[in-house]
Amino acid sequence: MTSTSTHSPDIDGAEWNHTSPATADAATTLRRRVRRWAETMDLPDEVTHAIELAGYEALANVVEHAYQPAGRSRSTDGADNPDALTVGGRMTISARRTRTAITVTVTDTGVWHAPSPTPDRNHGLDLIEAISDRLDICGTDHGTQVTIVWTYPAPAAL
Amino acid sequence: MTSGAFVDDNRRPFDTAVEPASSDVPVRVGFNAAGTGYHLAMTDASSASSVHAKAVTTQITHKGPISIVTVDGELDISTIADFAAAARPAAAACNNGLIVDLSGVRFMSSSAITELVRVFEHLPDGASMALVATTGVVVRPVELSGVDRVMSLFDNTSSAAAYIAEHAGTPTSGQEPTR
Repeated sequence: MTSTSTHSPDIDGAEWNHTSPATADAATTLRRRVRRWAETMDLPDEVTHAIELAGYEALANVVEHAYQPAGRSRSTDGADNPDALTVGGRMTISARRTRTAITVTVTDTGVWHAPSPTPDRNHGLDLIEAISDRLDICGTDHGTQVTIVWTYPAPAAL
Repeated sequence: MTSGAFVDDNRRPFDTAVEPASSDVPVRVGFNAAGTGYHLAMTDASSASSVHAKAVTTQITHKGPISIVTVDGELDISTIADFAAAARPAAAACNNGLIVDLSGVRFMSSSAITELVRVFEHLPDGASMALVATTGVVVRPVELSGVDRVMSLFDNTSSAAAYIAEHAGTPTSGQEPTR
């Protein structure tokens, strides 16, 4: 479930990824790890912080929205509650550095439960957008992938 | 304290208690610079588990009629319920106002911004709220959210206390007799 590659930070393509249960505590743990990854890149403090914060907001979204909370999957006859199937879902964060950009992706296999009553607004995603150069969200029936990019030479992390 | 949806979407979150810092500008809090409106789309953080509970500590002190919540550690969805449990009652019980000192906060996610708004909404009528922060880790999300237009941001508690004292000059906390 865990794979990490710790190439020298000076080598293009240095990549790191980790998969965990989609829980708040795991999001915190992964946040600290992606910060440590970023710290090996010799980036400005603001960019390192932006990577930690944006990656965390994406993880927090998975925790809060991707999977039906266990307490709510109370189908009486059990079997065919589709939401129940996603209880205990997982999330993966990966961070990759190339010659031109740093890319952080967060993926899940759930379906985002729109935060009512404003399905198209999300505070965390707005924050990601504000501190990164690009934010892409690709959602399908099989999961969601959030891709956050900071480009060189001048990452727009403030 | 309410559970479930934090904010009734049909109402502006800040139209009670205190005038925004610049009252000629419509209060709009949100990270989207285009500002299509403010919506709190966070789930209740109270269900977060407590493995990281010790990652944040809060302390309540008083400076005359001003209450101060001093926060140390990391504010994220794992710890925000602990902060809320301390700060909401402190806000409700304060006299002139509340200072939330975030100088010792090493990380702050958008869930903390959401909770600061909750805390603000617990203030009694006539009380105001100020934040103290010195690091970009806190200042950046606060400023990007625009929440600092409602609860002013300072880099030290003395300035924050002076701001609150100034805004407490009018006796708005007492109900004016109708006749």
